[in-house]
Amino acid sequence: MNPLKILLSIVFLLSFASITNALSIDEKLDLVIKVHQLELKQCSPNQTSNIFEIKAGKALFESKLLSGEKNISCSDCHLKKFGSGDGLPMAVGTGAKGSGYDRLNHGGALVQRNALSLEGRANPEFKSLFWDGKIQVENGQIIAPYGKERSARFSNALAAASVLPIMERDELLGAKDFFSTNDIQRAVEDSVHHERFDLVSNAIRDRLNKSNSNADPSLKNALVNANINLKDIDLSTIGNLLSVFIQSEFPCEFSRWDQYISGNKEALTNNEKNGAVIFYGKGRCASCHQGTFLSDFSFHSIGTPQGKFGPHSRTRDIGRAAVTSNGSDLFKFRTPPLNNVSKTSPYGHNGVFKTLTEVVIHHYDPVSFYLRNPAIYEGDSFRTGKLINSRDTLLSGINLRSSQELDDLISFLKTL
Amino acid sequence: MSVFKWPLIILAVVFAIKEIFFPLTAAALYSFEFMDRIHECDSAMEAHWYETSKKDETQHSLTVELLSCHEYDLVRKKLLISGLPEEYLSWLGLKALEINQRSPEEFVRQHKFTER
Repeated sequence: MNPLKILLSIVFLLSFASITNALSIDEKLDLVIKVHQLELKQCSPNQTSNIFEIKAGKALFESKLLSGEKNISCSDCHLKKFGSGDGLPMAVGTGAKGSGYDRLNHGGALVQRNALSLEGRANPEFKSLFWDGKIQVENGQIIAPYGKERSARFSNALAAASVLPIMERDELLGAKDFFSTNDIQRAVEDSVHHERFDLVSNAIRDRLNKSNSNADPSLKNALVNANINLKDIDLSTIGNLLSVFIQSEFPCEFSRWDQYISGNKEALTNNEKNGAVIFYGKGRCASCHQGTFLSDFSFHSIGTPQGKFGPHSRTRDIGRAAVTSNGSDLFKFRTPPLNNVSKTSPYGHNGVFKTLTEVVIHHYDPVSFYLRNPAIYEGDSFRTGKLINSRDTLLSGINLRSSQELDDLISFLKTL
Repeated sequence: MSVFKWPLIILAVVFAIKEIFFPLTAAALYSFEFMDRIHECDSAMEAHWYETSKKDETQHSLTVELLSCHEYDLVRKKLLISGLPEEYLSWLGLKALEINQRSPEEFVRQHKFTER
């Protein structure tokens, strides 16, 4: 027996802080950051704008003049207190008043999809907007339902996206009503989007230019100060101004996870750090929630329960398939970016998941939600097979093993 | 003779610590955690085998999950250094996989008479 060897062994053993933690959690995360090549997101503004354009964008964002019935503005459904959404499972559009659940008390039109957050949406990484990606950027070109020439007038995807609700019947345009005196809706009637673009543009221009117009004078002043010719204004002008305002009002912000990536090891607790390892490893979350905004901006199905409402026939929401008409896209939705995710409840394209825990569980266990919500199961029972079959095969790789791991994962999501 | 008495006692105590106290303490404290590491690594290796051919998106996540095997390796070596015999660690490995992966039916199948 070599006494030196014995002594060294004892010293070695005594030096174990915890014999079963061979790698410290920070060492593990360093490896995670290397493997996934994680980088700090770029939050600097990408659009140049002046203060007058931002003010004009703000005036448009808050103006009810853009809505058919002059009763709703963008600001009614995108509030900072709800993470720049509306805090509701599904948005309530024209006719509603107030904010949050109060909007359900005034007979407004149900938009039948969850209102999306605006935070950081001006960033060029957002190559796909809306739940079904009806606005996209491909090879630097904006793909929107307004046609190629009109889409090219927008300065970015967010600008093109921000005017779509103005043209949508239950959002700003006005609910379908036989006795309506809504001039914009009368002009639009049943036109498709590329015609609607011009018809709505003309109607809004008329409202702004009528000599006896009761248009908000502060809106007119803001537009004039931003060097906008009211005789030439159209939806692309409006979209571009909305976009610079959204960039300024709802910028992307560095999260605690961003701080960790940039080197501040104290930015996260140990549970949150464990959650990060799970997120980027056995949880398989990063297979789709990748990149600096934690979305691949592609389309997947997690078999979200359909519930009682949906924009398509038989209260369904067929998701991406409604844009592509492709059967393989049925029930697929754009991977939601996860920045600020803890503030944007409820979750899912129809807000059917009340909490982060519910939606995370549904990724690996599509059954328990139905067991806990028999009323939703009752509506979905004849289509459950279709929904579950549509689930992305990536989800089958999730390897969570305990409720502690789930808790850690949720803790991590709250740092984003 | 008394010159060698104390060094011999010290050597005997150190030997007892190294060969008896440390292995037993390590076994008592860390056996279950070690078994957990075995299962983590086993799951990661299995996932890597079955999912590698599936989609590119999972490759980074699989790599991160496989880090648990590196961790298992390090822990195993530390336990070996603490004096636990290889056979004991192998037995723990077998036990971990049996506990976590096999149903009771599979466990007892080999012990059932199939013909007499």
